[in-house]
Amino acid sequence: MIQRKFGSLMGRVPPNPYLAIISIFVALFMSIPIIYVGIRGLFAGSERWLRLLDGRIPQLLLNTLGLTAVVVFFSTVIGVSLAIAVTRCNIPGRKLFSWLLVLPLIIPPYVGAVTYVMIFGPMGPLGSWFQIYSFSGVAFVLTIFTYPYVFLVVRSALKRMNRNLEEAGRSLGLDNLGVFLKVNLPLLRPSIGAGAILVALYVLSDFGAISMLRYNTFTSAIYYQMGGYDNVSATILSLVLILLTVGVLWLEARVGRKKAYFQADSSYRNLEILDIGKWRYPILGLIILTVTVTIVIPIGVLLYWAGIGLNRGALDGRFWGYLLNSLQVSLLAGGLSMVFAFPIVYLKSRYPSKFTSVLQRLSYSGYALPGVIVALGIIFLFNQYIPVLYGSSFVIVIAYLIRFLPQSMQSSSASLEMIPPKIDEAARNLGEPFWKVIFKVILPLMLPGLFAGGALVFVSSMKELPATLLLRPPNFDTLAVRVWVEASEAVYHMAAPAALIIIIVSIVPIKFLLDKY
Amino acid sequence: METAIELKGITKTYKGEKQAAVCNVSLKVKRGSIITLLGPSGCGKTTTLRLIAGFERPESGEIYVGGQLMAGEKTWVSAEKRKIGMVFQDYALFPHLNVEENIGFGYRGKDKKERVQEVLELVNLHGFERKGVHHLSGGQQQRVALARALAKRPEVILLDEPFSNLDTNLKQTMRNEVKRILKKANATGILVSHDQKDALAISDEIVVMKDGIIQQKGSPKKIYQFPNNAFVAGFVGESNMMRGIVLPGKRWIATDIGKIPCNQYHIISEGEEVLISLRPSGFEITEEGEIEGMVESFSYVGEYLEARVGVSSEKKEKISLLVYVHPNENLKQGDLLKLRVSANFVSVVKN
Repeated sequence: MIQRKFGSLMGRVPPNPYLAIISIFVALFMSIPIIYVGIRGLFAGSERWLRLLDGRIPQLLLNTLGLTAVVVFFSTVIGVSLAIAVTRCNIPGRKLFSWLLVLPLIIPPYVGAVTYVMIFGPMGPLGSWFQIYSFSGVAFVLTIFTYPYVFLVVRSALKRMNRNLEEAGRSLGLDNLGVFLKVNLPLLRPSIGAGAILVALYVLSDFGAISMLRYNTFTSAIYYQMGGYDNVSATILSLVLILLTVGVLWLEARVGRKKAYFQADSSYRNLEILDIGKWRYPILGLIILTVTVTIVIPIGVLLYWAGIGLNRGALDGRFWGYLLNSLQVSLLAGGLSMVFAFPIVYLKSRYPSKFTSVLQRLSYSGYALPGVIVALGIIFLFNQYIPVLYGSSFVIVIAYLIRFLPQSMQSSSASLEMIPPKIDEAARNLGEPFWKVIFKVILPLMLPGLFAGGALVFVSSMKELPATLLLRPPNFDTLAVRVWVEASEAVYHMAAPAALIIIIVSIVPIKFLLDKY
Repeated sequence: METAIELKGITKTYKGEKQAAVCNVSLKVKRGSIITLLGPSGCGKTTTLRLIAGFERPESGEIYVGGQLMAGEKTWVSAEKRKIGMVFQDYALFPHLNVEENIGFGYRGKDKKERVQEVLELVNLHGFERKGVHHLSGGQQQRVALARALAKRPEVILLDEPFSNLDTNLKQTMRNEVKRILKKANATGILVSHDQKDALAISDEIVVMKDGIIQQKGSPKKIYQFPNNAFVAGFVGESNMMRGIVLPGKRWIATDIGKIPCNQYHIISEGEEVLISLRPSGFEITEEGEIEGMVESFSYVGEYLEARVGVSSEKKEKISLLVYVHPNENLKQGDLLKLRVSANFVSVVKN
């Protein structure tokens, strides 16, 4: 009787109970720190709330939202124009540029900020030309390192656009501009929106670039509150930031619903490349300027300082120690992410139900949220309940998992979806029990996707700054931490080699991004 | 004859659905026979197959395989423990394994190698042992799938739409092949199909389903010649449906187009109003024919001519009959025909 009830509750043959239990455990593990910060924030007491609402919150809101709006605006304009230029206009070398313009994604914005501090900072050669420690400085740096998100998404939408639609527009009497305004732009709108939302989420969560340029938003305010051991204020600010992020995610859900504009049906034809005459050259100039500002200058500056560093012996034993620390926590996070992602991904794919999609959502809770908030949640929980682990490098690994597990989930889920459920059924039909089906059939077939996911988590972990800064045990520095610390103290020749290593590692996921979009 | 599979009053409703996908289905399959569950998509045939395989659990009813209870009120034997082989619609061959490894998957006997060879011979794939399954043609993949399902000598082989992915020529070959292989292996087969041609060609028995309910069971000939309701008549082949009154003696039925012979006298009574189905292949063009009509249109479909013949009824309305004519006949639009109906293609149908 009970068995029957359970069966009908799950709607079909119930999933393996162990798998379900592991998945629940992972989902809770991923979400509890965040939920805990939220609850602590809610019950922080009205007095604290009022004080912050009167004092800091309005200013922080203004700073954060203002910066977000400006960066979103400029990166959208740049991203959309460049995407149109390289996909639709006869720019010389457009294939090469459409690749080079994505490349800024390998430079984490805090590293980018460091390179521009090296140039325009008080000690930089052009220090008197431009005040980098300013709103326009932060906005500039964030814009040039986030526009590729918009560029990528819009470029892929342009590539998938069906030429028949444009020709239909033309046959109905529209000229070039008319076709662009009335056919292309409305079709692009969802992708432009999606790209803009990615940028907004990034700006809300960025800590490294913003603090490097001495600007103040919620993330940096939370960081400095925690530094001053005022965790209560930090939780309140975190809750406000969580609400902002959830608001943007809500927008994303609305944009996402309208995404189904494209039909790549059998009548699909590639778009024609427009001849824009002599306009090609000024546009080419702008593209080259963008590549220079976003890639050539930052990497050039880093190479320059790394050269000085090499001469002064920056690659000493301590440096290799930092690299080893980075590798140790990042490899562990990447490896564990494969183990943690599988149960939830499998459950969600093979037993789709409300229950499994709740589990999946819970595991995503740390993904969009700033690293400082994840760190705050972990500090609370580990301080209180598992003090043994607090102060070990393992808490950093946990933070990485909470922040980046969804990358691993997406990748392994994509490869699992390629395996039809009939394969599982065929294996069971041939008499293999559940676990053997997993190990003999599913995992071998999923392996490439699983490893790709692990690699993505590894790279993200190598770059991670805020949670590492807050959670690292004494004397446990990673490369990312060193870049930030040395650059803050203007010891550029020590920061540059570490930054270059981070950039080299970041090349790995670019391939995945280019395949995806 | 021994029973290989028995379903007793099986009902299954999917979560969130009001209507049962399978409703109170009972069925016995004799050992060594091939039956086809036939019906349009959504009729519950695939669900029935999945219930037998153990991929779905019925909410009521019992399933017996080889006389042993597999699913019931208090019993549940999971899919991997049932002695049932399955050939999936797209074959579901393991892409990371070669032919031999696919066929031997899950086989635990010491004679694994010999058994794999044996079934490979059976499906005519000798020499393909080391080939990857990607390199096989559709027909070969199906042979591998069949061999894999047969390897463990299961009580029953289930085949889910086995011919739907094959092109027309290959389809016919594979129908004959599957039948030969199953018969040679002395296996019991349950097939699911929406294609009446599959069903008629391969089965010892056809079970027509609609909306989760069994409409009719019987031999292909019986189903084709004597459908017992309008759905079966329309789904398995085409049919002319009309009402009539049973005449005294119960050998004739008076309809608007005249007297129609009928030999299902055991299920009708004199003076009863009945619905009958006349198969288009049941007409013969002959001078003695009592039904007169004019050719309204026709189309040549190769094996026969599909003609629409207008017959004036007693009520002065024209009734249009679908008639299959031998392709030798030289029909023209407007030709007058005399038709005779064979009682073997007339069936009394439930309303």
